[in-house]
Amino acid sequence: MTQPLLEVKNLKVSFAGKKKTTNIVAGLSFNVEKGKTLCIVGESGCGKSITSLSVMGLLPKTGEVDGEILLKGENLTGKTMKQMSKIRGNQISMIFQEPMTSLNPVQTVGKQIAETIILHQDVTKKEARQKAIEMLQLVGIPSPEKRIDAYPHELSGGMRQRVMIAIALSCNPELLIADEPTTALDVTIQAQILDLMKNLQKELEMGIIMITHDLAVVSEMADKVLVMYAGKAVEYGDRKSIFNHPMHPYTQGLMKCIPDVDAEDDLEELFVIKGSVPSPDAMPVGCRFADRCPYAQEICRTKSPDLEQVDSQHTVSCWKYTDLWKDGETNEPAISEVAVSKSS
Amino acid sequence: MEAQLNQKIAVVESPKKRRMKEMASRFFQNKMAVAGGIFTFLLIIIAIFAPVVAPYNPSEQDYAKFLQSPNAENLLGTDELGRDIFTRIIYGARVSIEAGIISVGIALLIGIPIGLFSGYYRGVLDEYVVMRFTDALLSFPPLVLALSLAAVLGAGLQNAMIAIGIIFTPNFIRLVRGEVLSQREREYVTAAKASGISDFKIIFRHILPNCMPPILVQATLSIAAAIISEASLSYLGLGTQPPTPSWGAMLSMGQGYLGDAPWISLFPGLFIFLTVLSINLFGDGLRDALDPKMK
Repeated sequence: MTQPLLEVKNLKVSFAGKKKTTNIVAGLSFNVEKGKTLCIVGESGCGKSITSLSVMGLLPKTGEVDGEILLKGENLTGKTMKQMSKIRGNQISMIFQEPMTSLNPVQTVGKQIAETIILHQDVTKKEARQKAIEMLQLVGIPSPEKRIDAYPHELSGGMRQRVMIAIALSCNPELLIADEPTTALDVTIQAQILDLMKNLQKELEMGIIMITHDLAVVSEMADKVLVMYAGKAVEYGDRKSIFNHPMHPYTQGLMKCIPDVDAEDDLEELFVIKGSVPSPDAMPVGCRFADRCPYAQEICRTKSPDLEQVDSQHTVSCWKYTDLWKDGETNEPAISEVAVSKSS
Repeated sequence: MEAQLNQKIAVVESPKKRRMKEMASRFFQNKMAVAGGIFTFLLIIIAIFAPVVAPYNPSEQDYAKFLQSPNAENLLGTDELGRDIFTRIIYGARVSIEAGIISVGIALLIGIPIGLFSGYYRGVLDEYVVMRFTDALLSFPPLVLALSLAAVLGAGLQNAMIAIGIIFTPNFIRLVRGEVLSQREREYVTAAKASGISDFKIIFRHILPNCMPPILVQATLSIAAAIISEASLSYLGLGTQPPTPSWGAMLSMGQGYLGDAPWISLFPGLFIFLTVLSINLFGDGLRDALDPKMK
C-alpha cells in the first residue's frame, strides 16, 4: 500500500491550566490520502478545530501535543516554529470559518495573496501579482485585474471565502485543511464554494481535511468520514458505509437529526440527542457517550470501548458490536432499530 | 453581455482611490478641523521660511525703541531689549513645532515597538516589567517628571525634547499594546500564521497597520501637548536657552513687565493657545475622518 499523505497516529492534545491539565483530544488516528477528502464531523467543542490546529502547529502555547502527525512520513510534532512556517502555506494550507474576519482589513486582497506567494516561492513582486491575478481567476472571481486592488470590506462573504481559498492554494499545497469553510455563508454560496473546492481538488490533486458539523456537506464532499465525540473518534469509515450503515448510536443520532422533508406526518418533531457533551474536566470513565446513549449498559459506564474493525472500510467504537454485549439489558430504547433502518 | 459588464466595471475607479476620497470628503465637511489644519499648515510654512518672512533679526537689540507698544514698524511691539516681538514669535514657532514633532517622534519610536512586542508576545516581561514600568511613569504628574528629567539631563532644547519624549512614551506603549491585544485575537492573524508568515512580519505588516488610526490621532494630539510642555519647560528656564526665541521663554520674560508692556507676554501666549487649539481641532477632525464609527 502506498504511503498516505497525512497520517495521524494516536494524537492527544491537552491544555495545561493553572490547577490541572485538560485533555481535549484523546487518542485520535486517521489518514488522508492524496486527492481524497476526509470529513471530520462532530458537535461544537468535540475537538475538531483543535485537531486541525495541531496539524498546522498553531495551537496556543498552553496546548500540549502528543502522538504522531506524519506528513508524507515526516513527523510534524517535533518541528520548531521556524520549520513549521516553511511547511505552513506551502505544503499544508488552511481556510477558516469566518471569511469576514480572516482577511487583514487594511491590506488589499492582492497584497495578501502575493505575500504568501513571495514567502514560499522565488518570484519577484510583479510575478507574484500576476500569479495572484491567476489565482483569483482560478477561484472564479470576475474581473480579477480590478478586484486584486480591492479591500476585503468591499467584497461579499462568498467572494472573501474565494480569496481565502486563493491564498490557501497559491502555493499548491498537498493538504488543505478547511475548518467549517461554508458555515458562515448562505446556502447557494455554500454550494458554489464546495463545488469550487471539489474542482480544485481534482485539478491540483490535493488531500482535504474538511471540518464540519453539517452532514449535507459531508455527503457532498467526503471520501472518508471521521465522527468525533468528546475528543475521541467514535466511528471512522468511508462515506457510503457510514451513511448507509451508521453503527455508533451517536452517528445514528446525527443522521436522525436531519429533518425528513418527505415524512408523511408533517408535525414530526425534530429529533434531538438528549443531554450534552460531557465537560472535558469531568470525562466519564467508560464510553463518553454513555450518558446520552439509549442503549447504554453496565459495561458502557465502566470501561471505555476501543475502535473495532467492522469491515475493511469501517471501524466503530461501541460495546454493542462486541462479544461483551448482553442482549436485552438496554435501559431505554429511545431509538428503535426500525427507525434507524428506515432513515438509512 | 460580458463585454458590457466589463466595460461598466472599468469605469468604476479603483477602490483605494475611492476610500481616500471618502475620507477626504468627511474631513473637509468639518469646518473647525479644516480651519485648524490651515492654521497649522501656515504656521509650519512660516516657521520654515522664518528668515524670509520675519522683518528683523530675532536677537537684534535696539535700545532706542525698547518696550514699544504695537505700531506700524513693530507690528506686535518690542520687548525690554528692543527686539521685535513679531520676529521672535515667528522664530519661536520653529522651536515649538520642532519640539512638538521631535519629542512625539521619540515617544513613537520607543513606544510603538515596545507596545507591539509586549502586546503580541504577552508573558511575564509584558505583565510585570513593561506594564508596571509604564504605570510607574504614568503615576507622576507629567510636568513634574519632565522637570526632573530636564534637570537631570541639563537645561537646553535638545534635552527638553528628550524629556518630553520620555514622558509621552508610556501613553503610546499602552495605546499600541491595547490595540495589539485586540488585533492578535482576530482571525486574520491566525490565517496569516497558517500561510506560514513569520511573527515579525505579522507584527509589522499586518497588526501595525491595523493599529495605525488611533496611533495617528494620539500622535497629533500629543504634538499639541508637547508644544505646551516645551513652553512650560522654557518658561521655567529648563527648555530653550536665550537668546534663542521660544514662546515659553518670551512669556516668562514678559512677566516682569506685565503692567507696563503686556504685549510681550500676551502675543506668545496667544500663539501657544492658537497653535495648540488648531492642532487639537485638526487631530479631532482626523479621527472622525479616519473612523466615522469612533464618534
